[in-house]
Amino acid sequence: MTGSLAQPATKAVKKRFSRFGGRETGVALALLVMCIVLAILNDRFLTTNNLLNIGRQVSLLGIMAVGMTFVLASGEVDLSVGSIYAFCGLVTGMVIVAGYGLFPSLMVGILAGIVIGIINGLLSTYGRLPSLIATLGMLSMVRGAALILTDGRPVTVNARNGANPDVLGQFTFLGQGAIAGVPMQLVFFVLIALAGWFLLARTSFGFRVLAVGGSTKAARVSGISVEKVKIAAFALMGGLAAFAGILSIAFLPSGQAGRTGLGLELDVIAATIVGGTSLAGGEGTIIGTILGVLIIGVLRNGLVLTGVSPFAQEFLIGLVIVVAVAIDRWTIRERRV
Amino acid sequence: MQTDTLPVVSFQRIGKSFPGVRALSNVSLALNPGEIHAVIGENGAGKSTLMNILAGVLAPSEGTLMLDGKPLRLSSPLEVRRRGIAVVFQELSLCRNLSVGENVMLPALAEIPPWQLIRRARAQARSREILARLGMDTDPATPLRDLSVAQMQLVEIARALVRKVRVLVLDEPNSALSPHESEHLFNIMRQLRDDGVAIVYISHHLNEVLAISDRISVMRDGELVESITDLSGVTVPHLVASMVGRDLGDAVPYGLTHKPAEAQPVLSLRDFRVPGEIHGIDLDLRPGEILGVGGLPGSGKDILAEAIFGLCPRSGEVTVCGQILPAQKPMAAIQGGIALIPADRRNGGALLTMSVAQNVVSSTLDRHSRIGVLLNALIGDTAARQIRAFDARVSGPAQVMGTLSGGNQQKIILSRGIVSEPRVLILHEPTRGIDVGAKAEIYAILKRLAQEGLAVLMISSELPELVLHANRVVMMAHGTLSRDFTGAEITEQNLMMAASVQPAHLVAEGAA
Repeated sequence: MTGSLAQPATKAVKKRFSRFGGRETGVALALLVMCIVLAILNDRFLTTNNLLNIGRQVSLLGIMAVGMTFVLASGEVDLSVGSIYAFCGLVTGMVIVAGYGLFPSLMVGILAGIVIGIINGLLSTYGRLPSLIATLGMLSMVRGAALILTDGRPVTVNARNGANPDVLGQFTFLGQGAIAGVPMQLVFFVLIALAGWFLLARTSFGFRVLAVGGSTKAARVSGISVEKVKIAAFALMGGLAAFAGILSIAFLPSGQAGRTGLGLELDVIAATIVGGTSLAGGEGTIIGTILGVLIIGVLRNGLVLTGVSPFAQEFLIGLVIVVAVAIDRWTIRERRV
Repeated sequence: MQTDTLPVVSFQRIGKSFPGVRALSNVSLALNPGEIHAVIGENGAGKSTLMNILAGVLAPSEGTLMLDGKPLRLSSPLEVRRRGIAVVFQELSLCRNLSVGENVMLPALAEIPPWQLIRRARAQARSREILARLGMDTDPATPLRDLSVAQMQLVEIARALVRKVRVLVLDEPNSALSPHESEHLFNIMRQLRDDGVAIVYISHHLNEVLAISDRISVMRDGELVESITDLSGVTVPHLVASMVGRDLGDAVPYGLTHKPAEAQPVLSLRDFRVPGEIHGIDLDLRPGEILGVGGLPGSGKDILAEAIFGLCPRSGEVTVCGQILPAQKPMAAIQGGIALIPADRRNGGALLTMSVAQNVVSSTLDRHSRIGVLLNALIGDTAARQIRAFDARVSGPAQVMGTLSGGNQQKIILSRGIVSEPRVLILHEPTRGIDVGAKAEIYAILKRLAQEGLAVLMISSELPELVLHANRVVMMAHGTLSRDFTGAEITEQNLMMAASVQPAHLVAEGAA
């Protein structure tokens, strides 16, 4: 009797494990192995300085990947994030250079990102365009808008160009400052990741995103408005891409419409997918996404530390993305059944 | 009608088992050249399985298939086609992106080796010939997607005629055709028969079957019941009796504890229409009753559930508890007190990637969250309570929905509906793809819910399900409703007759 009772219990434990841990466990393990190998190969890898450095380097990618997790989990994709990053960063920079205060400047940039996100969402739902096409078009249009707006010239945020010195100080602190040695960019990434985790895992909005991505029809039968949920996911993505772009221009502190964030959308999507979010929708966790972002960040950092040529770095990063997703796909049947 | 000649194809003691289901047992059937051979039976009687064996899609578990007196080992559908056997299934398998001509010639074009060029002009001319034979003067260059469903059905048939055909199987070939188009198709069938082709005609429309066939074989529960060659004196009621003639002695129809007719209806449809599917029906559903809705494929019954719930466009009036429901607003339907259990679990009902608990609460998120934050403890409680109430066999609320059996998935989807505290429960094919044991449990649940005062609308293709588990039944035919059947009138014979009637305007047309 006890035996027959115990068996379902262990089965349940296994199910629980595979549901809540399985996906992330694989990625976490890969990350751990990578860190151990790098720590052995190079004694500078495990220094606080280097780790904080990695953290800062992945922050902007990470902030956008949090947004991308929502978009992919809802069954869509957003290719325009690199352009939103550039456009909104430049807009905020220009508003500051024009002498406005910090808060209105940030709001203008972030709202622009949200509006572009909503347009992406409207085109992909009520507009009945596949989001791949809609956001491919927006990638070009938003980049073009940034070029028109800046006339293709770089925007540099400094006092000489007209920024209010106080505002300039606050603005550059967002990009370059640190709290207790932790770079501000990393602080923002951690806060946004926590909020994103809560939103996806603990709120009815996150639930609806996963339901819509899992099965549009079943979501509709449950009374969920598929269109509104997807538009909200795009809007969130747009806002986060804008914020990352603003942090970028605050860090540098300049940007150029023809260069900033070029091709960034591919890094963001790659990191999110390495983290276990399904391109088909319905599956995704913020913890996985963070691990995916860290894998790409640690790999890039490690390759630099160990002196691998930049050309070989590009190749190896691509290889890791393919291998990571391949392992995920090949093991999907075991997880499902 | 030369029944003395050697059969082209003969099924000899064919049996087919699927895991847990015996689809065919001991079926022996001969297909003779120059004969139109109708195969009839209810859904699930085994007609399709038998034809899939002939088409080389399925291999028989027992028995042999003979072609020209020699055992036939069918390796692939392509091989079957080379031997002169063409099966036209009811589901269209056309490429919407290609032209009409390319679709007709597709099997022939697919066989051209890659290093050979396709002679487009010749292929087009050939397809035009075949289409003309079927009475279609459509230009072969027309994109297929510009055609009506009826025309597509003819293209599907045309494809079977590209090569010389010896055996032609037509599964419900005229379900989308107008009477005029059907008549033309029948003429072609007669012409092919006179050319010596063995034709298998599968249809639910029994008056047409009687009009055109030389021989009628009746299947029931995977067995061949009878094969009638002398059709003089055979009538539709006779065929119906033969198709449904199961022993219903042990079945106890659901008994009413009160007279629902006196209660106010909770759901009313007035002049309810779905473009092209349902042409103005009126329906009242009262608390405590299980109202069954049946009908043949294409009768409009398959769109009814989703149209009431608001998943597709409709017109007319839907009233729930005296309140008019807006069209195409599923959330309003849920809040108004309707719960829908859709037909297709894998692609509609279940959130397969999510947990059992999440599936239970997915339509009541507002009640299971506070200012947008999910109340996980409450969700767990609700899920655990529903799992117990519906006796669903799951390892726990966290189990992934996709790993459950069909029956258990259906119980979870039912519990989702109940959690929203509906006044009306609409089920579409509630037991499709569910094993016998779980079926019985689901019927028991429905009965209990009805006795507790829920109004249940059960839409089903399974006549026995309607006969045994509904206390009032209406049948749909050509987008309209039959009269009510209640009590002792609910028999498979009566329902089948009501489902296969010609609509009044078509009967009048035929008489004139």
